[in-house]
Amino acid sequence: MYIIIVGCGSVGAKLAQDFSLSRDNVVVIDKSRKALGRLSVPFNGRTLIGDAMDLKILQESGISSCDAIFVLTGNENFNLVLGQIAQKMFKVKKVIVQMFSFSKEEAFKKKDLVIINRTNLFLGRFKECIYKK
Amino acid sequence: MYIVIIGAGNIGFFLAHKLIADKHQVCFIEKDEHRAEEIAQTTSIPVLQGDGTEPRILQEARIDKADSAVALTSFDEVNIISCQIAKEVFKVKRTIAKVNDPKNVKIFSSLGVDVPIDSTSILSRIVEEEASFTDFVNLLSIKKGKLSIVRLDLPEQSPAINRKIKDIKLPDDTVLVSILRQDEVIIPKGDTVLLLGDEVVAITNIERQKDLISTLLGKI
Repeated sequence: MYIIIVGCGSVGAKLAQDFSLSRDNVVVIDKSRKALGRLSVPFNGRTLIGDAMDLKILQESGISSCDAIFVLTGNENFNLVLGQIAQKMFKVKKVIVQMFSFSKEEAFKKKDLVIINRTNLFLGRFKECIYKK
Repeated sequence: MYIVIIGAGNIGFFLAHKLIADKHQVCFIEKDEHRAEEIAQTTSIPVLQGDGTEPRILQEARIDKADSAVALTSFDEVNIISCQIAKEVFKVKRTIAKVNDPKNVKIFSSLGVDVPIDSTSILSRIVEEEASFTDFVNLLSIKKGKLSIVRLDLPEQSPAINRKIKDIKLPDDTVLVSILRQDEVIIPKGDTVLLLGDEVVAITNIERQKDLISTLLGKI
């Protein structure tokens, strides 16, 4: 699999490392060199420093031929925009977007984005601690 | 008309006053508390303090009743998402947004913003035109740059001076639109004679641009 990850926070970095361990081709994009430093060795993927909304950077990442893109920055508006760019302009089949708020989700549900709402995930797990064994 | 403006910075503020002077109704959405407060206290324009990508805030601004939504914040992703929600959730017919990074213009259009306005490019083009002493200025590119509207100032060495337009062999796919001669605007006809200092506005296929320059300016 050829996977692009945008946003090298704790989740993005770990995900990239896991994919690279299972021999997937991974490219990680982040605007900060420091963030990319979260990828500890051994990491077999590629890293790109820059603004992922820059179409040149996206082309450089090989987006047109990737199997999936994860957009995991801390800015959900940015994530939604980039997810749609991947989908509409580069025809990426599997687009996974991280979100935090509930209110906007509805508006973007119709699009074929896989929306992972981080807040919702936490809430679910927290409630499970109480209601389920 | 009713227009919701997201981002009450300088452009938004100026725009609102203009719209109100033209008897339109306006409502601001402004994220910054101080700015929102300032507008509320110094003007009579309705202002909502909040995030313009938040459907609840847009609803509160009655964007569903708006004829257009204008997103003018300094964040391109905010402007795009506000316009998308306005359009898709609240069925606003016309969405207009400021493009902060000129590289992003294409993204705005492919994500459905009706009118992306790339103010940086517009401004720099005007400055370039005013600052340069060249005889040739590209005023506007249309059809993804295939067609351009250009202005040529006829210099002394121009081979076209003192000749009738019908006697000048213009390149294919080129039309002379108007001639600016001092304060006069002349619509060119076959018998119109070009004079030194005329500013000729033409529409041309980008591939013919060089030919047009050599025909009217006499150089490349």
